Amino acid sequence: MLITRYQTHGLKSSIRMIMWYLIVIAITLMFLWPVLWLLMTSLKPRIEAFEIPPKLWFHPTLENYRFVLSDRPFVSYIRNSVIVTIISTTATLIVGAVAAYALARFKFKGNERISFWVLSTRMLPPVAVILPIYLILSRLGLINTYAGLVLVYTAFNIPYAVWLLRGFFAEVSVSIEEAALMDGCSRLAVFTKILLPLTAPGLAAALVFCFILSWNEFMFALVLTGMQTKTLPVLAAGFMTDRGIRWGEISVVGMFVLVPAIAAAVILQRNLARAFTFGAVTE
Amino acid sequence: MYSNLKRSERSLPYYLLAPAVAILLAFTIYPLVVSLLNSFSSLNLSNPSKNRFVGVANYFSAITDPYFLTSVRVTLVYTLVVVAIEFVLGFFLALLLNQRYRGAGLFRVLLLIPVLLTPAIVGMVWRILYNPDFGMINYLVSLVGIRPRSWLGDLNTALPAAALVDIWQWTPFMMLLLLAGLRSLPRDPFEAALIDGASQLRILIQITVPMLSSVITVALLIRTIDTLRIFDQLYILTSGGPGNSTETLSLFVYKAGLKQLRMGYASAVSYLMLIIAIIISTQLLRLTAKRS
Repeated sequence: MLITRYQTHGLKSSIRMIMWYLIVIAITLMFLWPVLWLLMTSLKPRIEAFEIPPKLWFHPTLENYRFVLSDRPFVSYIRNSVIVTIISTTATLIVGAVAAYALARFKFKGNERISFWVLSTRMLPPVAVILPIYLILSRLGLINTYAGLVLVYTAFNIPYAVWLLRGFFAEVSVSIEEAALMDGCSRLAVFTKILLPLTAPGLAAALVFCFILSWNEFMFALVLTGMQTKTLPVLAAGFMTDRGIRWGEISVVGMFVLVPAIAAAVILQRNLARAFTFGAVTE
Repeated sequence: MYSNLKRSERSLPYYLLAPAVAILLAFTIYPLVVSLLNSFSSLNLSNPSKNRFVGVANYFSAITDPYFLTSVRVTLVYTLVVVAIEFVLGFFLALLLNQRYRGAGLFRVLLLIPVLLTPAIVGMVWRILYNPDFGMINYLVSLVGIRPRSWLGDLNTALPAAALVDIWQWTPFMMLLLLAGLRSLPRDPFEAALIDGASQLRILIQITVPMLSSVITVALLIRTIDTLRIFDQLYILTSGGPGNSTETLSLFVYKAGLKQLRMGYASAVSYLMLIIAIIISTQLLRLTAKRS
């Protein structure tokens, strides 16, 4: 098991291969059944959602989806989530890319120290700053605004963006940029017209990862939003107490939140380890 | 590789870093200072005018508060158990998927899905699955003859039930990192060991684990840091209950500060939590540094 085996012929290796597939399929199902359950419940007619044993074959209906999408507050929560996530992700990438460029390209006093300070903010439990941030934002009148949440998300995602992009930028040879500078290109042109296009896959990975971090965030959203700015994860928390057991609709909301996350897992794949570990583990 | 700066560009890097540094200062360092000051005060949001300096009184009340001590114990036990199980299972999965069978890549992607799922929604889904009357869990366990119960509502099962959700979501994360580590290992030492007739288990313990030590450190460190601060799923699954059997430090700080509005006290607790987190992560780093 420790050493990668190449496919060989013979009965023994065939049996081993079949065993491997059976075990891996079983494990995959163990990890995915809650998601499959959610998908099925969202498509089930209302009465069938509670049936035990659960019906695996049923006539799928979009009744729950239609109901949820005609619900005005729900649509506004989607809008809140999308607005906050897109603005904070954009801000994170711009601020992060510029900082990463400085750290990856230039030798200056404090380079290493600033890099590690940025990384060390990842150690900070959000709950250690949530009370003062609440007090500060309420003094500034930013509670229950998009701006408040956007600022917090941008701050908490910048370390990821900086470290990911610093790594991707450092991988690009500096000689192309030097040549362009010799030809009279400005630093800005070199950065936007040469470096950014060359590191497009890295930028995309950083974008998707920061998007999901903001999309999934719950604690700050719970504390810093009000009726008009609640995001989807906060809505989910409210569901558990307010709406009792309307599972069909709850599962539709669940699907709306989870689908982007699932898509992100598929898109990121090889960059996921790198994103989570600030470049310490790469594939 | 560094690029040379012209004389006129000397301060360029600092300008480029300024926005990022400014926003990080504003949302990490400045709040930490505010929090430290508050932790020495009697600030209570239900009566903000009666705010005075109380020295270390809040810290003293915390370390003599049985609820706080329970919360420390719950957090440490939860973190230790969850991270250990995730590591062992994740290692097993990584070894299993480190095979060149067709489709191994597809299974890897499918297994990664839980990692990026919204923790609050994960909590919501599992709360429904644990529902004592109509939940899937009670149905599934009844198939193997275990009698149904309210897993999240029972003092004895609430913490393990919540831990299972964590293990479900984050075991694939361990797999992801360890698999990346396994892939990067050179083949030679393994082939040499096989020729020498070493057993698979011996190869695992004496070659694989030591060679992976840096990846293992990173994986354990990240999971430990994140589990110590766990909030989202637990808030939705149990809100710390029944009693305070699942009340981790993050939930404790949230409740003390934003429900009971005892900001001074909650700030002190959050500092104690920060200290615990720093001690544990530096110990973990030192432990692995010593070994290698």
